[in-house]
Amino acid sequence: MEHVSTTSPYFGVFVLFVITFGAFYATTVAARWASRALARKDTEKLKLSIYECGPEVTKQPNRISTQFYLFALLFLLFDVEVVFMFPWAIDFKLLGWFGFVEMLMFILLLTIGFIYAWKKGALEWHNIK
Amino acid sequence: MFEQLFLILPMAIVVMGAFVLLLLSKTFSLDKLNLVAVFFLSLSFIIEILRFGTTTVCYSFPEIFGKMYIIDDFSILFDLMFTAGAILTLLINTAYFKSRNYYNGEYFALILFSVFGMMILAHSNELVTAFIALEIASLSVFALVGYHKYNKVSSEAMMKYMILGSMTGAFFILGTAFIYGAVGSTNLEDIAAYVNVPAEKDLVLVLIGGIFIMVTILFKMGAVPFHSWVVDVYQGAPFPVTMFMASTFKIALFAIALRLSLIDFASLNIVWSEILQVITVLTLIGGSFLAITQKSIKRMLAGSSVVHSGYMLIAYSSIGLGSDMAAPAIMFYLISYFLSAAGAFGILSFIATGSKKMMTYEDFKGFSERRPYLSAMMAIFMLSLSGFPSTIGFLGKFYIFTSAIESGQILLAGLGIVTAFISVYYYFKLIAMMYFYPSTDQQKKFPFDFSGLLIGVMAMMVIWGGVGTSLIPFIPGANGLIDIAKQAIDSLQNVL
Amino acid sequence: MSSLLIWIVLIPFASAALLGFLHLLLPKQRSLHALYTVSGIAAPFISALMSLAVGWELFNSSDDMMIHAIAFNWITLGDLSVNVAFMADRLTAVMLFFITFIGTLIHIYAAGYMKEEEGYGKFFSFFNLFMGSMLLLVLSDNPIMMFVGWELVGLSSYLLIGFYHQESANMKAANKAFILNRVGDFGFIIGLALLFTALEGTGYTFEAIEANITTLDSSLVAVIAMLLFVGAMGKSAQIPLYVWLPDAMAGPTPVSALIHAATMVTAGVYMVARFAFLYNEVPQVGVYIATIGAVSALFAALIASYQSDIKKILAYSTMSQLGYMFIAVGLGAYSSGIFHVFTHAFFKALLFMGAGAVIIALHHEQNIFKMGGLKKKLPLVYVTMFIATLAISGIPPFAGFFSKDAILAAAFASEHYMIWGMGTLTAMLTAFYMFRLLFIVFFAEGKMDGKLNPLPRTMTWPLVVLALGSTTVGFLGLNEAYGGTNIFSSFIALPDLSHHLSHKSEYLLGMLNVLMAVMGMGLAYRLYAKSAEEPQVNNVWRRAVVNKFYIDEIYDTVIVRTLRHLSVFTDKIIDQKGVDGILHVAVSGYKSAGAAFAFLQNGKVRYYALYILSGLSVLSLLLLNALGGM
Repeated sequence: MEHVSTTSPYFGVFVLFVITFGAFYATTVAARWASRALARKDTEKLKLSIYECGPEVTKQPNRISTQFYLFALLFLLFDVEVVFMFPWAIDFKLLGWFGFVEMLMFILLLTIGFIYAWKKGALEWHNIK
Repeated sequence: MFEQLFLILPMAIVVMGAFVLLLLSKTFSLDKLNLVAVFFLSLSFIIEILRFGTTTVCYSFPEIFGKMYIIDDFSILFDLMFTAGAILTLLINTAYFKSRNYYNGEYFALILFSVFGMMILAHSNELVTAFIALEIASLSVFALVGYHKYNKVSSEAMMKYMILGSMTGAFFILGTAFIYGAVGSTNLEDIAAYVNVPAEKDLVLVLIGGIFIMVTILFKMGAVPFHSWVVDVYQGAPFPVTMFMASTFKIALFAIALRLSLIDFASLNIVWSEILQVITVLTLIGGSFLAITQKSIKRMLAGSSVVHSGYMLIAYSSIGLGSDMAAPAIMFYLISYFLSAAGAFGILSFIATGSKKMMTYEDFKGFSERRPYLSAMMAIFMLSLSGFPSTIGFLGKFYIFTSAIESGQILLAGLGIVTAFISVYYYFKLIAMMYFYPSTDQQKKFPFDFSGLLIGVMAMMVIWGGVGTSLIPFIPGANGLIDIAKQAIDSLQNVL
Repeated sequence: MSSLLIWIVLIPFASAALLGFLHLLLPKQRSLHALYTVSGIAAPFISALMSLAVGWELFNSSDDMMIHAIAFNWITLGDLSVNVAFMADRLTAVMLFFITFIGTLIHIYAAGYMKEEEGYGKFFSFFNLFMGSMLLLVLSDNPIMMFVGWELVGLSSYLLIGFYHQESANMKAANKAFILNRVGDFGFIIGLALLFTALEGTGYTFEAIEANITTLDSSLVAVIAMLLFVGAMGKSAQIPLYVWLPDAMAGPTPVSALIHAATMVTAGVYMVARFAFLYNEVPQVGVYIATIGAVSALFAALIASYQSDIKKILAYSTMSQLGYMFIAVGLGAYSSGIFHVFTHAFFKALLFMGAGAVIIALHHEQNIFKMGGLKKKLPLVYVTMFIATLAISGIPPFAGFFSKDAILAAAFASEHYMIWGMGTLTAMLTAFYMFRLLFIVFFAEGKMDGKLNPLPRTMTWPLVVLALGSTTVGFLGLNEAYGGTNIFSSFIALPDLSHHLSHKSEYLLGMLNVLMAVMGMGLAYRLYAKSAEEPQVNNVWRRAVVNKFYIDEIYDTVIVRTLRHLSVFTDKIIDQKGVDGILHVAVSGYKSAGAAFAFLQNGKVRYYALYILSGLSVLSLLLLNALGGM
């Protein structure tokens, strides 16, 4: 690429800045315009409905409490953390006491999180504060 | 073993404090939690202040972590500023969080987590560690920004900040990947060794990686064109959080930025200096455009914080052009900006405690009649921010411009001076509002409380840092502070 | 010994701070008066004792001995390193001695004079502040510290002239003094800056400057010497910057005695003597200084002869005597000049304090034509005033004779006969106006009825001490011709330019001086001893003299009015129309540009992301550009 050189030290850079900025802006606006213009505008019921992993939202038989999501998150969290224990268990002898202490500390941290969630009442049904 | 543990003690204290606060968050009242948080932070602060200047550069647990975690005067100075910033944020706003009903115990834990992240960031000697530290700090701050979760503005600010923050965070890790691809290591010393040895090597990947990392840093410090979040987020966040972000979190980025540019990319700086110069010009002009149009003081200060980033960028680009003064100048400027901005935002949130006003210029009309002492302090902070002589802000700017001229960037220095003149407009407007208009409300108040006293002490420090000599022991004056800054930078450069 | 120097300066400052603080805290508390008195007087007294110790130390060592004390480093900026440091040599010791000694006496006097006043504590606070500043001025080790003291004495003088601040005339006088001093200081500071620039960082203490002065170009030195003298003109009330001194008499009389007679106004003379090494390089500037001094002396003596306010007479007399001192230092007779400073401090302080006693006794009456016949009523004041008058008129063996004679002899010996002639004429006028004052106040028939105010002892005893001083200190400077060894000038050891004069001509000159003084005395006796009438303003000459040659009016028309018109023009036309106009255009332009920029700030996070991405792409392009150039 050719060197942009003008008398003023930053001038070339500014030109670049403005041009790129404009180009970016123009592209975005053009893309938005194009997609709006090219899109088919037929209104199907399912298309307008809220996306919910395939099944039709409106036909959902029972509503799920948000409490489930919290439970699921906590489960996932502690479950995944346990995965870290496998490599430690395999190299248990090699890591020795140091590794043991480290793992104890890790578990301690997890426990703190657990106690916090407990005290917050996240493990009790319908008792979120 | 225990020596090594002692090295990381300040960080450990902060994170343990955060855990304690989490566990106690339900049982203790907010007042007590506040004191617990301040206790842990001050403990850490005291250990660091004892350690400053006495330790040689060393690594913590080198046989396990490698050279991930470095301890030197540079990082200790930053630690001091982070803990001091958090302590001030907590103490000045004791009344504020009691006056709002959305505060609860986790607020303090989040502040401590954020401080912990920043401390690790200052100490990190490795890119992945730096990234994780940055994210720890940022995530806590994201949560803090949206702390008033039933307030639309606050939540919107949090969303904006989080989306943009994670996007730019991705650039950091991308840049790290590029650099790892070229160097085969993410350790800063390895990178430095690779880059600084003048052999025919492929530096393109390193350069591209560096650009990506730089974008993240520029975003966090709010340089134009990555500034767009600043005003909205500062506006949306609760006052104490804005104070914390503007005074403390903003500084944290310079820890890694200085470390990178002084150690790793020292020989590449010349490539970037032109880019940095353009960013600096845009930041200075754009920031003052932003600040000058605002009606709310909070937004004005947000805009002006962009301008202050611009000043520091002036010196940042001077580093690459061979100015020895530049890096200490940035350190000094950071200290001066920390004091002045923390004070100004502190006063804002202090006032906001009792009212639900938006804190526009209009609200400050005749403020000096109502609260003469507070408005005098506010005037001092405004003078310091605008770089008025005899305040610490003046010396900060003076060192910055000196470094710019030393490295031959006369144009940048000139522009910096011009924007400093422009900044007089929006800072002095506040002073004029406070002093030259009659008050709408005639009653005078002289409440005496600890927060006000603390702000007063900071105002003294702003003046003392601008005129003081080393007359009074243990309180560094103007020349003491620049010596501290030089010492910190020296410890950084002695690694190699 | 060296830390003593620091304490000499520090104690008055500390006392000033303490008293000021107490006064601010408890302004109406009369029970504190005892504390104010004790602390206010103790501070100069302790300084005086320590000064004596310093003087003794210097007296017993070789004549180039200097005592140094460095308190702390004040400024370090590159080459410029200024210490807050003190230095005492023999010149300093002399200054120290009379400042603290006379200062203590006047403090005691003031305790009596001011005892009825509202702001008693404030007065002593300011007074001690002045003592500290004056000591700082004479003790400083470098011109910068000296300038600090120089400004501080100006400040305390301002505060004390405006002590009765309820009356606007007093504040006007205080402002006048301060502003005129600033004019002088402007010259002084430029001179200092020029000096330091020329020295190129080879040191900032007096010693370092002295060591390097010969390396400078002599025309540059002349300019510096002139500029420094401008400062001295302001501080020591010489033509043309003298007009503040008569007005400064608005302050309390102890202030006039201490600041505007004995000490502060002599700072200019001290400065020239301190820079003797510099003025010796450029004798032509010295002649100029001597000429200014001679003209000031004569001019002030003429005005003094027609004044009717007792304090104003003394003020003009002070200016006239300062003129003598400048004749001496200008012609290189530094030790004679300082000797006159020394003796003058005694008799002029005595005169002012006597005048103050009269004023208090007569219920604040200052017009001499309304006094008279006080010889019987105030015998002690009369005797002491008489001694002081003899001293100032130059009648041997009183102090003034020896110092004035030394100056006039030096002027004669250096063959500047014009200056010498003016000095001799002034000597006659001095005797005339001083005896005029004395005769009118004490001899002429009394016009005052009613009882006199009783004078407290604190006001009378200092007069006696000073009268003793005025009688005897002259013998310190007894020179060879009169059978002495001139202890004073051999002690002070200044680099005098010496001219030889035979004993015979010295006797002749001395006799001439005494003759002139006696003539002035006789004239005054003939005119005023029996009955005193206010002078009739009946011809042009008298009208001009009584109105002080219209100098105030001329200054007002030429400088003040012109400046006022200029500033009105600048304010209304240049500033409001021109500068503000441009500024308004610039500001509004900038604000609209800002608004345009804020348009980008539209609050939509997708646009913000767009900015970031485009910024990133620009950076990448730039990098590509840079790499292409690599």
